[in-house]
Amino acid sequence: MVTATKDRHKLIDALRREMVRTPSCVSTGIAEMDTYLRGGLALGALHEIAAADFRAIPGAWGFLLALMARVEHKGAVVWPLLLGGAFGLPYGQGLKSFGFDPGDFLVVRCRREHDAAWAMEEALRIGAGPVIGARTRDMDLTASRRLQLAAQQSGTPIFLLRGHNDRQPSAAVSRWRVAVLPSARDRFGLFGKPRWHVALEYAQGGRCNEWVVEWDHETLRLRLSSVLADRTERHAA
Amino acid sequence: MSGELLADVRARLGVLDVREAEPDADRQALEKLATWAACFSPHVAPWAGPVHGLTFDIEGCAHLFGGEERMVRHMDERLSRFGLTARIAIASTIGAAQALCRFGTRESVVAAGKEAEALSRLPVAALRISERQAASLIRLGLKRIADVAHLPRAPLAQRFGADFVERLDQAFGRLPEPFSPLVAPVAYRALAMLAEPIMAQDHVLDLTRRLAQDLMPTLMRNGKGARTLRLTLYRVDGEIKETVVNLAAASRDVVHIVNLFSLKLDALAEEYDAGFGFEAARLDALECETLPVGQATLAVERQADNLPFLIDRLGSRLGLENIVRLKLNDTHIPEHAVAYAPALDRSDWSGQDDLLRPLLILPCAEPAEVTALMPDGPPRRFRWRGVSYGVALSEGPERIRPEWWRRQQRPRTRDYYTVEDEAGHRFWLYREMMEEGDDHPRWFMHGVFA
Repeated sequence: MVTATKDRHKLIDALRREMVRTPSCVSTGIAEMDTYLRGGLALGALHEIAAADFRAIPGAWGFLLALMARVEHKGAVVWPLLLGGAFGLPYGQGLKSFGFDPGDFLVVRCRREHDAAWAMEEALRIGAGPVIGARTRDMDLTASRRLQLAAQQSGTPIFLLRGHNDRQPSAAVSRWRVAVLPSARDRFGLFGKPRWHVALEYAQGGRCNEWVVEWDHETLRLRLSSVLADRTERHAA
Repeated sequence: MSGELLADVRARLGVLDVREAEPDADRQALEKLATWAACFSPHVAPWAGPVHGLTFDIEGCAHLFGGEERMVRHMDERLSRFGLTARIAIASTIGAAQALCRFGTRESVVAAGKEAEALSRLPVAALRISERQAASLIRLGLKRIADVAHLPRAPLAQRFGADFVERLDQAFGRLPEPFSPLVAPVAYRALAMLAEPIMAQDHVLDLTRRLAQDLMPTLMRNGKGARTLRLTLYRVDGEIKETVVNLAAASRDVVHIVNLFSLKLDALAEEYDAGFGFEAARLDALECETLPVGQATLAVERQADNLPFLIDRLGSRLGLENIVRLKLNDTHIPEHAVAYAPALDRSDWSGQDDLLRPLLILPCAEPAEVTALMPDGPPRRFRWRGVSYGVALSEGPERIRPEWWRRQQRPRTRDYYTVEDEAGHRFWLYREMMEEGDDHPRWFMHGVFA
């Protein structure tokens, strides 16, 4: 009986430590975003990025990669890929513009959805590198909690793309929603940087907020888009 | 009764069950038996002649059964379970063993050097010679092998043919005899015979672990690591189950290998039918690679570099061919420039120019309806997958010509445009160069930008 009480005390102590523990995290590159996230992007955790609508899916992939680019990876990013994605397959040179070496991506071609979920968990448990992928339709709270736990244990982050109309609950520590905005023109009236409206819909221990960000493919970082940058557009209007 | 007419025999006996000879089916059955019998020795081959039998090379195998006599008894017992009556002989030469098998006692083991003695009492027909040769020998009074063994070679060859002398010498071990096993021998293998059949998958895995533990020291001694492993399970009723596991990098890690088999067996769970159980198992290292002694896997520290480990685990369930990396091909045709390559074959992307390329590319370019002010101008509006988009900004064209050295496909020159619609979505469109006979250019959607 005495040992049982002792064990229970030990367990409660461990749980308390777990609660106050600050997970190690990396900066998103935007100081303001970091404060809302309580320090930054948690490393051993599940993050979900949803597109605001169907057409914003490529933009959501872009923001996902932009966040993932902040995580140090040792030559491997595991990407379980279901065949038949709506907008096609990742393209090597396109990944380069996010600052990645395309050779780092370990693509796992999966025929079935539960194979993809299994591959993600397996990759997290072994902890070879960050995992990215798309949330599958049958991924319920239990499945996402498994991924969150596996990520926590190995300290490897996982970034999942969530369908725009996916209403399933999840155990992600941060949830984002990305909408695409018209980009600013550069001074020659040509393509500016891709611009997204990003809403932090849930942050564990943090607060929610919205930002307009741009991906700068030259300095390879996210930037807050200043409202004044829209001068040309306002002028035109 | 051989050589008699069917009608005569039927008249004499009254009742006779007559079946057509099926040489093909017989041969197939014999080969199946040979495959099964590889659990005694992997070096096994069916006899070439009209007489059916199997030859085993049991060098280095007999001790696994506790000696040659016990091996013979064991084989006999196992074969009798299939309802087969076996005649088994062990001798130092193939000729002697076959002769004793067909004309000797039911089970005979001849020690090395005693072949002459054992063979002397047998009839000459035991020497794997034709019936005509045997008949003419008997006509001359040469009935037993002892009668011909010491006769001068030259007249014998002249009279009965060179092949007769060859057979005679092969039986006594004076001439070598080639032996080609049915299945190419495997250099590294481990075998386990079980006293009781096993059925549960856990037990199969335990057995696999034991086999792997037997196999790995040999590999280690020779500085090898396994790349492909095959587990053969022998079912009690003679069926054989084979499971092959491929490794991304050479390994001698027992735990890892057993894990891979475990995943493989999980994936094959539906086909996995233990029947009345497995009574023997063999683990072969089909492909090996040099792996320096002193490290169990290529990953020196699992924590630091556990990628090959991950690739193996994913590959054993999903197929190693599905674990790939993006590979750069030396071509400027966009859909061919990026391909998938095996995971350990890492492509070098460092020298590649930074081109403006989409993040996601469609596997096949999809037709789009495009409105442009000029036939060769940039798009103003386009319709793709039933949705209409107004173009806010476009950049291009980037002209990509087909490769002239690939003439047979005759693709057309393409003009690529990067366009942004009014909402900010970015697309990669191209227009095919018009040729004679076209009244308007054709447009295609090829990819999307983030």
